[in-house]
Amino acid sequence: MSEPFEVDSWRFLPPRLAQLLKARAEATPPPDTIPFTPFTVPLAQARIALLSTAGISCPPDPPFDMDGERANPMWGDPSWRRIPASASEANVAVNHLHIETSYIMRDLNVALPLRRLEELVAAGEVGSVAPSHYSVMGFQPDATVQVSDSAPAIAAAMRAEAVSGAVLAPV
Amino acid sequence: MLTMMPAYQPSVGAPRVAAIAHPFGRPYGAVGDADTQRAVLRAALRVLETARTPGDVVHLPFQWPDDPKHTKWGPDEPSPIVAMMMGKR
Repeated sequence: MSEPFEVDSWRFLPPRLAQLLKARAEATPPPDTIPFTPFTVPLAQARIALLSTAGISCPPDPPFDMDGERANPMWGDPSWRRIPASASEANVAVNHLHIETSYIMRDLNVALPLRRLEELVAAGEVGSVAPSHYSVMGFQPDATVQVSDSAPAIAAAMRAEAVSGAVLAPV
Repeated sequence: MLTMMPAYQPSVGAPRVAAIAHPFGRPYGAVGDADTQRAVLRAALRVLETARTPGDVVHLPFQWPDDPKHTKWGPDEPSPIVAMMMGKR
């Protein structure tokens, strides 16, 4: 019998960066509580939304502020963007200075798999695709504003569209 | 949450975690690999549907086909914070 597979968080990182991030992870205290709402809707009846931290925006919406981060490397744009369910790589911008963004510009589904979600709905595995999906920009040395402003606003937008559940995928 | 870095879960405390051994920037799979993208999304939704304990972590059995040494995920230009750190050396 094979050993259970375990994801190695540091596998793709250069050793020095892995060491730095590992020390940071270990030094951060655990949260007092873990928020948890039981998911009670059968997936085949659920309305699903997707979230990405890739800094995806849909012109003419403004891009995430990369110049601000260039001017202050310890700051990341804490705002959020709404992405319509019909979005594709043909009509989005990717504003993130810490990843190779060309993959997402060639195929949005690598980070925000809207076409794949449509396919699961068509197959009857998922109830429906939410009208809106969301992105933030994941480099946040200080996440205060994302926590106080962006996350509640995204949650409210989801509630307004009767979303049953969401998948957040940091990049 | 679908994450490449489940080691952060003890400090983050996400409600439920699907861990994936994919490189940064492409959590669902490679460009044009619709089968893997769909399978990863399906697996993440399955974790959403079945996790019963706050903070549960499920390690998804997907392997990235390329060696990490030959997997480009970072930008050509160092990010501002990396450039700043390099400049301080």
